Amino acid sequence: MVFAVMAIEEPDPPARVRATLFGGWNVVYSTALPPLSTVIAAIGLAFLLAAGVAIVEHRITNRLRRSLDPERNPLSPRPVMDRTQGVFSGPVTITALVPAHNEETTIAHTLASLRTQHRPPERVIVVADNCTDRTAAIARREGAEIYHSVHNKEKKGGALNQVLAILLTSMGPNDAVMVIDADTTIDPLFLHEADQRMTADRALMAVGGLFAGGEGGGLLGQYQRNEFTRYRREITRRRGRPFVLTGTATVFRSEAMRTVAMERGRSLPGIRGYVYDTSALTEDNEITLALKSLGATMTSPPECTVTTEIMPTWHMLFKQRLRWQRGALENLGAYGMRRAVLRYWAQQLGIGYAVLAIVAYFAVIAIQFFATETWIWFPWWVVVGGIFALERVITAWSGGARARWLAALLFPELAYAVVLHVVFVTGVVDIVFGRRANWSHLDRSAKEAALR
Amino acid sequence: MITTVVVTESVFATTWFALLLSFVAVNTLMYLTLAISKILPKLYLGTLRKRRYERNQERSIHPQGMAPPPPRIGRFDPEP
Repeated sequence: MVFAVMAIEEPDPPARVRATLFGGWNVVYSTALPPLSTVIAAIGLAFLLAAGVAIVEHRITNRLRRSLDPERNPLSPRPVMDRTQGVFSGPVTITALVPAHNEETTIAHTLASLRTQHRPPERVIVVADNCTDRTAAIARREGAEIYHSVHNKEKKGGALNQVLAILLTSMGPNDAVMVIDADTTIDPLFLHEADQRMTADRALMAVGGLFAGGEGGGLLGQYQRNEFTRYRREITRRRGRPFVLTGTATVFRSEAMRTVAMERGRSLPGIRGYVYDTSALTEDNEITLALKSLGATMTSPPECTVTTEIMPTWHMLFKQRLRWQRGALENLGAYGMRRAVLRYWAQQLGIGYAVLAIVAYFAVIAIQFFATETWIWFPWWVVVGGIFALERVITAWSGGARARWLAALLFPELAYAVVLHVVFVTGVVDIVFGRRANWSHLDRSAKEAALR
Repeated sequence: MITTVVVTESVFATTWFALLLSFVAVNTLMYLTLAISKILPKLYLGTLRKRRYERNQERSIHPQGMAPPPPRIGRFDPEP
């Protein structure tokens, strides 16, 4: 419908036809079409941009993947395989680390999800960080080991750094560390899949989860679930090549973490010896960039599904996304224009362009609405709108009936996209004006009140 | 004092509106192309070739010729 307004590009005003539809609905429509040159140029441009990004990404990935330079790309497959050639360092072991800050309501579920894995982890360590509730007691009752962070003021990353400093020293090439959030549950086959893949490929440095949103939350929850469903589809279509190794659940080979810690302060941002850069707002995005910069191979297979909590209020969602957005931009600022992160720069530019496009789109709609007395329909653009709706439905299909209905309506998701664009602009403005960012831990009591 | 901006149909004849309209039309068609590419199955050129890709060396954690040991039972296991 609204795409209608965009077609008045003909030198002569298009013919307007009055008609009555469905027995009583009077409409005015125009058969105007956009000039063929515009259509060809736009389609050509879209192909050029999409293919350009894909080719650059492919070339960079291959170059890093085939690197023979152990100094610049110590985690590239060849240097890794050379180091471990002909040596059997034991089977793959997995130690699960569960960083938790006042998670007494959810920690038991997370631990149960680890315990009931088809292939359970060898060790489960709950990293209790400045907890003032019963998190540690519940975790102990559930059979986990407890590590209390010491004078940690650097949130999750700081707590993990403390325990990893101890843990990594005794780990061999096939020992892996899983970092899993205390409000997250994983698919029963997650660790089995990670084990199999790491056993089959000693150069595979990380197996990340593909997250799905938990139940509830009404319309807002459905928006987020649709978003995650599309992300899962996209990664599966990319044959498991992830954009981010999710902080909710990822298995890292210990060597990957050790090398990242060694390279900080040298080729990577951060303090030498720290696995996680504690100055990053999004430590999972940052460690993904770190691993990619070092040439590491990683995957997010469809078997490794993670279910995490959705944000129950707009306010919380806005805060979460602002943190993600600022974190992503700040991480890119820290890494600069190096090859491994070019794809991420392109992604941010893409979001920036989408903001411009949507503002222009609404401006045209508003002008059309106020400047004409009767609404004119352009059937050609209505068909275009129909194709957009089809794409929305197909990409959210695996989310079930509710997901499909929401997608088919098109406009609610357009409104959601506008909110995410506002987040992007706010993030950029905050960075430009140097406003301080908050980590914004999800306040449990506020969350439960909102869910009620 | 209250001022109101009146937009009339004469706006459609202005150059800036024509530019804005073209910008929106091109964007819409570009996003449409991307949307169609997301509906269609993703094409990988490598899969069209008949050649089979094989790794030039074994990447498993087990050195070549060594049988893998039986799987270990984890400590954090429901069975005691």
